[in-house]
Amino acid sequence: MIELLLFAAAGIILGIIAGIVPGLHVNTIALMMLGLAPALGLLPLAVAVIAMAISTTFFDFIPSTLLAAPDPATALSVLPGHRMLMEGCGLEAIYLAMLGGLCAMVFVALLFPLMLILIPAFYSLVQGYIAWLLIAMSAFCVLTEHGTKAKLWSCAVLFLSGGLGFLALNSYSFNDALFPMFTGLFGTSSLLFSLKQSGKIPAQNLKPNPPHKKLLLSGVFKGLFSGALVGTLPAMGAAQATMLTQQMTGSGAGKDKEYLISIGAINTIVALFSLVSLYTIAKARSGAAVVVGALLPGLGLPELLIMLGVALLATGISCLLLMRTARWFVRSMSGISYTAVSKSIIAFLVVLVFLLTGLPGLLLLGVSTAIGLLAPLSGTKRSTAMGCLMIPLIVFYIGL
Amino acid sequence: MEERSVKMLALACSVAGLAILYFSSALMEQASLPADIKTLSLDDVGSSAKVCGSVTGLKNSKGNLLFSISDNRTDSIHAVVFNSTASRLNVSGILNGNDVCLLGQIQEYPPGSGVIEIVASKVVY
Repeated sequence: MIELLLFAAAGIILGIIAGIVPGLHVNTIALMMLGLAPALGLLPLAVAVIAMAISTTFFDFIPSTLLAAPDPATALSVLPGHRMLMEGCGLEAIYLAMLGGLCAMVFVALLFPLMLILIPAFYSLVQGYIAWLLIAMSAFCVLTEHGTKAKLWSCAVLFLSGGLGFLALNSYSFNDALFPMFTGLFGTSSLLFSLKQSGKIPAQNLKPNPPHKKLLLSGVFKGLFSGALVGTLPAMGAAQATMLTQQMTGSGAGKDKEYLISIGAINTIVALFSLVSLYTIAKARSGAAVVVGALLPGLGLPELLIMLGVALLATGISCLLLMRTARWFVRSMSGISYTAVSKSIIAFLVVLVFLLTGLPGLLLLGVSTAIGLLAPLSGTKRSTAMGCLMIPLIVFYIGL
Repeated sequence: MEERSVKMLALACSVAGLAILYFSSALMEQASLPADIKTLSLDDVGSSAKVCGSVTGLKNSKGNLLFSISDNRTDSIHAVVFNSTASRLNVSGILNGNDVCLLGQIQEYPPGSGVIEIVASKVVY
C-alpha cells in the first residue's frame, strides 16, 4: 500500500510536469517508464502511469489556455480559453475545465459497476460501423455551418487538414507528427490571427466566478456522453469527443463556459474509460492504457479497482494543486503586452517544434498553420480541422 | 460551485481514492495466496491464481519458457512465460529444480483438451 502511494505521488508529479510543459506528452513518458518495469515492479509502475495520465488531463489546461499550446485532447479548448484570458478570466477558464474533470470523475466512479456491464454490450453493437460513425461526425460538422459558402469552406478545411494528417501520419519523416500538426492547426494559427488585437493582457480576475449549477450539469453531462462514446470505440479519443461536444454546445462567447466544462470532463472520462475497456473488452483506448496493458497482461478486477482508487486520488490531489499553480501562472501574465506575448509564444513554439521534430516538423508546422488560419478567416468552425485525424481514420477503417 | 466547495469535493475524492486503494490492495493480497495445484480445474479457466512449486521439464521455444510447476511428486500444472512477458521480468531463476511462485491466468491449452496451464504475468522467487 505504501509503495503504491509513493508511486502514485511520483506519477502525479510527472503528470504535472507533462501537463505544464508544452510538447511533452504523457505517452512519451509512459513508454519510457515501461523500460523500468523489471527494476520497479509491474503494478507500482502501472499505478504511476495512471496517476500521471490523470493529473496531466488537469494541468494540460494551463498551457492550452495561457500559451495556446495544445495537444490533441485540448486543441479545441484553445480558442475559448484564450478568449476568456483576453477578457481577464484566464483563471476561470482553467477552473471551469478542472471542475468539469472533477465532477465527471465523481460521476464515473459512482457509475463504475454499470460501466463493467455496458461497455462490452455497446462495443459489440457498434464495432462494425466505426467508419460510418466517423463519416457521420465529419459530415455533421460541415453540414451544421450556415450557408453554402460556409459549408464549402468547411469542406475545404476538412479535406485539407485530412490530407495533411494522412501524409504526416503515414510519413517516416516525422518521429512525432501530432505535436507540430496540432500546434499549427490550433496554436500558432490562433496566435497569428489574434495578433491583430493590440494592448496588454488585461488584469486577471484571481477569484473565479462559480458557474451556475445548471450550466455545470449540462457541461458535465455533454462531456460524459461524448467521452463515454469515444472512450469505448476504437480509433476515437478525447480529440473526437471534443469535436462532438462542440457540435452539441455550439460556439461563441456565451457557450465558452459550458464548452470548457465539457472538455475538462471528457479528458478525465476518456482516461478512465480506456482502462475499463482494457479490462472488459481487452482493448486499449489510450497511450496510458496500452502501457498498463503491457505491464499487467492479466488485468483482473482487484488491479482495476486499484487503478480506480489511484485515478480518484490523482484527481483530488491534482485539483487541490491546480488552482494554486494556475493562479501563479495567470498572475504573472497580467499586464504584459499581448502582441509581445503572442510573438514570444510563437517563437517559443517554433523553437520547440524544431528541437523535438527537426526540419520536417517545422515544415509541417508551417503548412498546418496555413490550414489552421483558413477556418477563422472564412468564418467557419475551427473544429473541422480535426479532419487531420478523422480522414486518416476513415481511410484506415474503410480499408483503402 | 464555490472554490471552497470544490476543495472539499477534491478532498473527498482523494479520501475515497485512498479507501478504494486500501481495500483493493487487501483484496489482491488475499487473492495472491498460493493455490493448491490439485484443486485447480477447468472451472478456474479465465481466473487469476498464484501457484508455487519447483520447476521441471523446462524448455525454451523461441523465447517462450514452457515448464511444469510441481508442489509435490504427484501434483503439477503446465506453465508458460511468453517471450513478451519474459522480456519484462527477471526469469533467470526459472531453472529445473528451482522453487518459484507464478502469478497468472489459468487457461485451457490446447483448447478443448481438458488440460489446464498457468500463463504467468509475474514470477516470484
